[in-house]
Amino acid sequence: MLNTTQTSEYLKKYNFLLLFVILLMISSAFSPNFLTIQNLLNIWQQSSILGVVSIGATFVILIAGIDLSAGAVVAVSGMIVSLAATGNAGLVLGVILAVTCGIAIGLFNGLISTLGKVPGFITTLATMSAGNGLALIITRGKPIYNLPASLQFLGGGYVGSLPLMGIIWVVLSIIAGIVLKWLPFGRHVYAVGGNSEAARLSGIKTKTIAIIAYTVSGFLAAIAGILLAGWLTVGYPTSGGSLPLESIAAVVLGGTSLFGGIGGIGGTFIGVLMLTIITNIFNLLGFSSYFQMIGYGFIIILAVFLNKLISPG
Amino acid sequence: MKDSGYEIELRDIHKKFGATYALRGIDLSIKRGEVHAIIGANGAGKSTLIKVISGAVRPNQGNIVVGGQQVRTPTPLVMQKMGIAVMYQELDLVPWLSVTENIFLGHEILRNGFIDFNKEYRTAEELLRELNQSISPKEIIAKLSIGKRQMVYLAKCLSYQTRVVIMDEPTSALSEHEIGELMKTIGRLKDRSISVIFVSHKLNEVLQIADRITILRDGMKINTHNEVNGISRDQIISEMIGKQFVDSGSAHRHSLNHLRTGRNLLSVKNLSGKLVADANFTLNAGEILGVTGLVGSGQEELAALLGGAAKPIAGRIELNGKELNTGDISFFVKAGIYMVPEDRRTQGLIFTLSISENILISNLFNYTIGPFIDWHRTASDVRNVIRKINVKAPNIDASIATLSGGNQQKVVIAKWLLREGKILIFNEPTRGVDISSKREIYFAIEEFVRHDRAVIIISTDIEEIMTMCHSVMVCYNGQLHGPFAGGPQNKELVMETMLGKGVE
Repeated sequence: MLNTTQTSEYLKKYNFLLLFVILLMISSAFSPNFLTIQNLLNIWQQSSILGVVSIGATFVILIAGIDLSAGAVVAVSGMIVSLAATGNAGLVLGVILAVTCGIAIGLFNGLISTLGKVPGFITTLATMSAGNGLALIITRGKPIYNLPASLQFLGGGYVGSLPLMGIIWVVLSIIAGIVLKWLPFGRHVYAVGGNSEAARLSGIKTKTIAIIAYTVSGFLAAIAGILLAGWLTVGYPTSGGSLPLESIAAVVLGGTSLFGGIGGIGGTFIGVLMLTIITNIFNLLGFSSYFQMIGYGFIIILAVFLNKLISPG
Repeated sequence: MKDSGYEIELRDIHKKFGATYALRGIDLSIKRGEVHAIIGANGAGKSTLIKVISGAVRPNQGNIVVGGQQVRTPTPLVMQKMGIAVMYQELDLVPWLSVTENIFLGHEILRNGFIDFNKEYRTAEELLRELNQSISPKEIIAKLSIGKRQMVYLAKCLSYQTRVVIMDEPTSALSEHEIGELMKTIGRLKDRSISVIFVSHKLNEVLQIADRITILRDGMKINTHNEVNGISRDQIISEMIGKQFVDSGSAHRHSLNHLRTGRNLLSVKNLSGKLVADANFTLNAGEILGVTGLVGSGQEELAALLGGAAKPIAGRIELNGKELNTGDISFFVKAGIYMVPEDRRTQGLIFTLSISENILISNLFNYTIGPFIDWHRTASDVRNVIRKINVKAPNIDASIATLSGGNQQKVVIAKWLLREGKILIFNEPTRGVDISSKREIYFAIEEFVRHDRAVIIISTDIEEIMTMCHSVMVCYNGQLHGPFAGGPQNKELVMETMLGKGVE
């Protein structure tokens, strides 16, 4: 049996689940098509790109940082893999190059924001701008058509009746969840985000932890870029778009504190699904995407209010 | 109403924090245009008294009369309106605004609803000239030295009819020249019949500038000297210390029977930081070494240097004859030198993590199977260490915030007891800790040194230092003096050294 204080603790900590259930009930009440297997599979697949980016965003936000450059990394890595796969280099080398580039940008973000003491917001704002420019330069501003079937499969393929991209998202989420819960590095992420000075005085190399968190974010954004190119079947140099802000919204919606140290991957997973469901239900009800943007805004504000409940002291 | 000639009169002020009295029956009167020094050792009640006068703390009992008028609800705003200003060490100035904007912040000179900058500049210049300062009124605060900033703050005080300026340790960050300037400026304030309450450790300055001196000890007023001429430093020191040795009764008594039996563990050679100058000492296995001093004398920095949290300017620290990589705290932790920092809330604990995780956070690599943490083994070890130091907690996964201050401090210590360390450095180990937790922390310290290990206690609590430590060093003005043998018989000698007797 839970006593009342414990119950209220859990309610505070997992209020995003409550929000999720309410959203599910509203959605299925409004549209009979919502709770069909096909629609749910669609939601899963449509969540995946944002989902993979949001895993990285979770690491960065947990250390009380922020990564605005994820969209630019998605664009750059998408362009690299598209160019390589349509050219002589081939898909495998393309993936390796794209991922390396993502890691390099993430590492750069981490080094500048820790050793250079430039706030992460500014550092990643700069790499966002530079990365978006780079993506346009690589392709001279034009989309890349005729992507090979292998790359298209990565993004749009199915394993049985399950979307491959969705499976990749789930697997990466599970790995990230294990890292955060079961590896010393993961617990150090929480410590650095919770109180960086106390973590440093406990002997934790706080700068190294922060650098790794930014690098993880760059790495995952690169993966998302590859998946996105394959899914769209075209490499668009501007495809990264609003992903960073949506991923931050998803992370916060999932109960992770923007002040760092509280939250986790499970919440982010739910947060991503919630954002996709909002889009989905607006589509099913026939509202334009302009209304969706307004809906997003209000949901995020609501989430931040709920989030304030969980910060200690 | 008859003018009493007093700006402020305090009558029978009592202030209690929890069960302890910070002030007990203080009577104090501040005359118009006098420089009144308030002095006392650490914990004598000076800062609480400042807060009472400035309205930041409401006394439990007693009257405050300002300008002949009784103040019923003293708040910072009310006291400021009654003409009382405090010049804190951290000045209340906005660094990126100009001198003029700072002076008139909150009471800008307006014309038709807009700020009249020309008039503000002219007025600011006049105010600064009255203080004999040639600071440009358009200069940005951040570009000024601390001494100049104080002058700007005093000009601000002049701009809104301040009657009394309280100066809290005003000379601690000033150069010799700037101290001279401040002394002259205080004279100018006096000429304008503004009173100055001068709170300081530095007896030479106090004797030089004060018209009257009030001495506090243990929250009580010991004496007010109405005539400063002819008083000696030694007389003031003995009033600050008190002649009779008061046994608090609560302090745990140390047996002192295994003094310096062990081999040499730590050698500190010519260690210098921003304030600490050329520190030299050695620490033996089994030894508890105490370092004390007045607040701001450099022992706080010494703690950070010894724990590896700050990088020294010069000198070396050797553990078992091997030089340590100074300034790299993770290296110190690996070598077995751990620090319990001064402020558990901001430096010791991670409030977003549970009790268990706070204890484990520097030890996780000792609990892995392959790359993964073995959460079963951690739980049993955490329970053991918690039992050992007697943390009273509902369960090990509870939030840190649910614990009392004493139990929180025990969690910070438990973190290091979980490891095989060599040296534990405590900075203010029992500040804000209840008596029973205090006792348990002292037991943990003694238990720790028993196994060929050593402890350094840095503390401003003189009772703690004298009862717990085999030997005691005193930090005065960044210089280490001693060692003196521990034990109550040397308390007076140590306190005199803290105040600069025999070393200046």
